Amino acid sequence: MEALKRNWLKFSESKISVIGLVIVSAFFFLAIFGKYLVPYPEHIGSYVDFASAGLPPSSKYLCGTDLMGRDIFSRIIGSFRNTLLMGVIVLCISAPVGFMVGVIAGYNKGKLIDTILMRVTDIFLAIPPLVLALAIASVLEPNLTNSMLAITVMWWPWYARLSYGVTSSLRSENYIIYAELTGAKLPHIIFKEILPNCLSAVLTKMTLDMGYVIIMGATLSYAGLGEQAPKPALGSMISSGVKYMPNQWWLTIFPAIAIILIVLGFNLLGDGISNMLGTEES
Amino acid sequence: MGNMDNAQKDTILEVKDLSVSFNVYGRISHVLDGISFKVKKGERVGLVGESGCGKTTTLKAVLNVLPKNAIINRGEVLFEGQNVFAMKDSELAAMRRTGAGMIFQDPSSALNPVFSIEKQFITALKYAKPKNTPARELHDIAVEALNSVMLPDPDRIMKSYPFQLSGGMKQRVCIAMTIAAGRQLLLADEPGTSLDVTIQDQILRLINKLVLDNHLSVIMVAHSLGVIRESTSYVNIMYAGTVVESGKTDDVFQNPKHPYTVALMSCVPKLTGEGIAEGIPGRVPDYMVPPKGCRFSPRCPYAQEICHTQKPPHVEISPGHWVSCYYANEVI
Amino acid sequence: MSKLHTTILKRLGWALVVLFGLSVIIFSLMRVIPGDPARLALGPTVPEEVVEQYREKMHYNDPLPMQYYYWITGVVKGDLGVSTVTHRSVTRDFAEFLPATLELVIWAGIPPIFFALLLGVLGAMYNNRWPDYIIRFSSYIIIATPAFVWAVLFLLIFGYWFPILPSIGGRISMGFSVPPVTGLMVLDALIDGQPAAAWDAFLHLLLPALALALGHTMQEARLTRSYMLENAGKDYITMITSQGVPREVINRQFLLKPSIIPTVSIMGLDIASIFGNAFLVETIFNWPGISRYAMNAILGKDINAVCGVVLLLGVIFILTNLLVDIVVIMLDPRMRQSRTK
Repeated sequence: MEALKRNWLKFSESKISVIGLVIVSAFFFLAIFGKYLVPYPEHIGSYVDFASAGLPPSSKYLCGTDLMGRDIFSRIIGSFRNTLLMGVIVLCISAPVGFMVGVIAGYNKGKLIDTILMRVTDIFLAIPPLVLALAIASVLEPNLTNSMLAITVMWWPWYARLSYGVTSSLRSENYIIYAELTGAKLPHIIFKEILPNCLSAVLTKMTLDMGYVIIMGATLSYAGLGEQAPKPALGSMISSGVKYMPNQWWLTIFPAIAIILIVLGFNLLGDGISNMLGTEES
Repeated sequence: MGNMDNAQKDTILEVKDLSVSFNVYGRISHVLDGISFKVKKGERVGLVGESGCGKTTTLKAVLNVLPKNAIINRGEVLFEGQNVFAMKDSELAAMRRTGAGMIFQDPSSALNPVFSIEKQFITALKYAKPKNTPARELHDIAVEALNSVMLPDPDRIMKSYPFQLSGGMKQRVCIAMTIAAGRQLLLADEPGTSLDVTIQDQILRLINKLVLDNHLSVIMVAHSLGVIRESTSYVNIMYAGTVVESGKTDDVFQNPKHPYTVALMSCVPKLTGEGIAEGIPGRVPDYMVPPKGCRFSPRCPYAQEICHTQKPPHVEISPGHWVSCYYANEVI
Repeated sequence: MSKLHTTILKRLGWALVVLFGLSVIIFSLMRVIPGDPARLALGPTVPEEVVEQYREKMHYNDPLPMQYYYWITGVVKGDLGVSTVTHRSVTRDFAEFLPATLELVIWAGIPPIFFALLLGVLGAMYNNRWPDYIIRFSSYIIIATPAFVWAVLFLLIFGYWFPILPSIGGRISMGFSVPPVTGLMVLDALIDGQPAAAWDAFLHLLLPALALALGHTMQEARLTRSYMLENAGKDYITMITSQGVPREVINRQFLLKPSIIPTVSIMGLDIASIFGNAFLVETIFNWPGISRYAMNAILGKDINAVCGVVLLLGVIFILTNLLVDIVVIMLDPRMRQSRTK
């Protein structure tokens, strides 16, 4: 309890980090409950009302309407759920998988399994991330699941690298050797000794990564490879609006602002977390 | 009048009532509380205390290289009569270049890892010597300094990077850099602590030799009493940011008067076989909430009411022997 | 040979191994797609015997490892197959489109290095004063904005509202003709002695390059700044300060160098990933580069072109990382020699 209070004090020292926390919390909240709070919930999905199509922002439609007559504001909020889902699922799979790969490799540093695992990791790292994601997503059917798969496949190596670095440097530390000598089994060593040391780096990275995964997801959906119409996705909203610039600028600008805000929130939060955890030593 | 002038000319450094705090994420850590001591020319003065008692902070204050979050509450550090905190930039620079120099505790972190020894050494020398001294000459001075610290093959050392040298070699390089510029006051911050015991011994002997040969003054900081005994003629015992006892080394060692000093001396195992003494019960105070009065009072077996409320003055109880304790004469 | 050379050779060796692994993955990707590649290439109307002949010729009936062998030897010779979209050899397509992207990447990657370092140093020097706050505040927003959003914004602002810069128009305005030497339009124009053309080409580059450069430049600036601040408290800086070396000298040399070394490796990764970001930016600006070509290939399910592009970009990525590794080795002496003692 005391530690929690202390951490909160450190975290809240930076006003910017608190702003990040607020933004991310709002994002989570809207992703879960947004459907019930938006002015036009039925617009999230297939809905057509050509009479109201292409209207500029007004008090009735906060961000204007798109070319099918749907309220953009509602659709933006409605897209949060899948956006959040993508980020959470991708990270919850790639982080632990990557982490384990790195730990196993680092723990057996110098042996064959280390070389094999890390070379495979290097290969995946060698491909420009977006290219691989695009290639995979294009080979498979374009939908949310496949785009999540594509991003997950190219995301895990970064966590492997991270945990590999920490594990291999800790490997030769005395307390690990003592733990082994006293008969501690591998899972115990991993969770009790190694994990706490990487925790701050991994948590910070996961928070910052949320932003990048969201951008990646938006990029894929811009290319038409993510969630398909009529479900809303920030990237695809932008891409379908580009052609109508500059006249109906609201089609692109508002989804773009939404992306910027969300990513900004995660970046600020991630910075705050790294400050809070990283400076514990000093 | 004349006498006082002579006495002052004799003193290369005088620290007067120095009080330094640190701002740690909004909370204040009151580390140094009224440190005072003098160093005469050619004198070897010791500064002894446990880890964390503020020895390094004191040294950094002398050169005015305290970290950014340091607050100087009060006090002066007079180098050759001038207050280091009030000096103009040019005066401060001059003092750092040819007046006083510090030998850091950990030579591995004191040397820049991505530059060669030559680059670091010559750069430092460049500003210590007159402008337009030719590079050749600077190089020769550096090589000579490396020779004087008993480093074989100085040319190879110059071309090397810090990671290529052993701890002992790096420490010698640092010592060489400090004396090559002709500085008169050495601030040695536990110069052997991070090294092997045998190397530590060599380094200390080296420093002693250089100091005696060149008539330098030294502040030798250590937490080992043995080191102090061998390398100093005068000693200040520090506890939690205060000087609790000071005097000639032999005097203090044979007749410790402050309860802390007494306990320290008894902690050292003696060959005369009095058995192994216990440690001092209690812990070093929290600098965020320092004890009022004498900082040792919470742990002192002889503490009275006044000790807890009022800081004892530094009093000369016998010629040249000073103690900060109300009951100094009643302690064995 | 010196340790420096052996280290570099070792890295090169590993790069080749990684390339091999990459080619295997790409090959598997190619063969995983359901459908008959021969039929896909030739179309539905061609008679079966011709298709069978084609299958034999292309070794589609051979066991997979043999197919890989044929494919990889072809690749090494420069044969990446035929694009089902452009109906030309993929290699030919590369030769046409790659230089445009290369030029974009160079401009988006290299000049920003100096800006990043400059902003980082300024931020550290004026730490907690107003220039630092401005830099930090703007960098947060800039970093949070993906490259393609910048592209869209620039298009809106400079393409429509204030059309002072060319946007969708390709690499150079009509009326300029520049003989291709390197494929890098600005360079070629200068070589040909046409400064006006060079300037025009540069203006065309400006918006897409800027969209690609902004995010990572600010990220690198932030990193530089935080390394500078972190290193400023280190013992070796205290030591050199205590020796009386002037502050500017310390900042410019002894603080800067250890701070930029870790950033340099990030910069290398960033330059390599610009290729990835270029996908959407090129599409938005209609820039005739390899990424736009690849986008079209992906959307058109042009397998040969897609794999060719992934392979090519993978090669470039690996080479860039290798180059960056070498630069880091040269900057950081710790990476080079063995301990002497």
